[in-house]
Amino acid sequence: MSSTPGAATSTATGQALATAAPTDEGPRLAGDLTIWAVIALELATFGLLFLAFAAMRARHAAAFGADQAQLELSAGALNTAWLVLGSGSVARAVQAAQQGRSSRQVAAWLGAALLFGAAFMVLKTTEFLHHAAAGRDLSNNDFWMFYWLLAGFHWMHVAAAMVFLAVLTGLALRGGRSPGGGPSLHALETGAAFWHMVDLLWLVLFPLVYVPW
Amino acid sequence: MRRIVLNRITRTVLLLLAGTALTWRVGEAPPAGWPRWAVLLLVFGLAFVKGRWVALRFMGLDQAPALWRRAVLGWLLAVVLGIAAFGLLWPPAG
Repeated sequence: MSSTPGAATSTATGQALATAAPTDEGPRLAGDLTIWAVIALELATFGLLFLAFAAMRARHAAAFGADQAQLELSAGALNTAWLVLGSGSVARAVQAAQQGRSSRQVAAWLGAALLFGAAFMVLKTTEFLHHAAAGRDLSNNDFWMFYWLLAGFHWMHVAAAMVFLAVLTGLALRGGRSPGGGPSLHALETGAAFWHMVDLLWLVLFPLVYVPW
Repeated sequence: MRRIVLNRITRTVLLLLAGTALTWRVGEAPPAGWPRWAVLLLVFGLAFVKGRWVALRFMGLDQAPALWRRAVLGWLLAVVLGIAAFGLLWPPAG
């Protein structure tokens, strides 16, 4: 929590703290503006799909409920945990870079995020294969059309985010022990913003598609 | 007594995991006597709170220009309210 400048300068101690504290640069968007344009587009697209699913589900609650019962709620919850842990690791990588830690430490956090992402991909792919083997495909009915569209589209975004993180991890590993030797903070924040967007989308997708409501 | 101070990111991850566990629990076995609308509001209320934490604390929107923060949080609120509205106000077809 940060103190207000007025309070910090009201006493001698406050003045010392204000001098020692980093300069306030004002509001700043973390990452490249281009990735935020992409994020805006993705949120709008998924938002429309979420609302279309909710509308169809409301109209055909019994049919959607029966198909939804074929999904494994525990697997959905576990996948949420993998993405959340991945987000935490990515955030720690960015924090390590902001604090001037070695790029090897940044690489370690990014590597942890990649592992959590891989756990998500393995579990989700297993789920896809299970449903495909049971003959539940895009053409079955509205529920499965939306399931494959939403979950499949999201799966592709996780894969893209993992490629982004893998490149950043490679750059961080080449940076060695020297602080600031890996990817730039700007590049890290750009990759992190995309990863967190993928997590944000799943936090809505999970209760919408997996939880009976 | 020694006080354990957790990193803000770690705290957020723990809160997100707790919220996920609660969503899973309610999905597996809704609390006895709870009407459907209460379950729906709890589940999507949790989705909003968790999404807000990710947007503000992980995506850094708490430090971002207000326009971006309002756009992302506005999107999240609109989507969650839209889903809840469809679930609560639109009666299933006969």
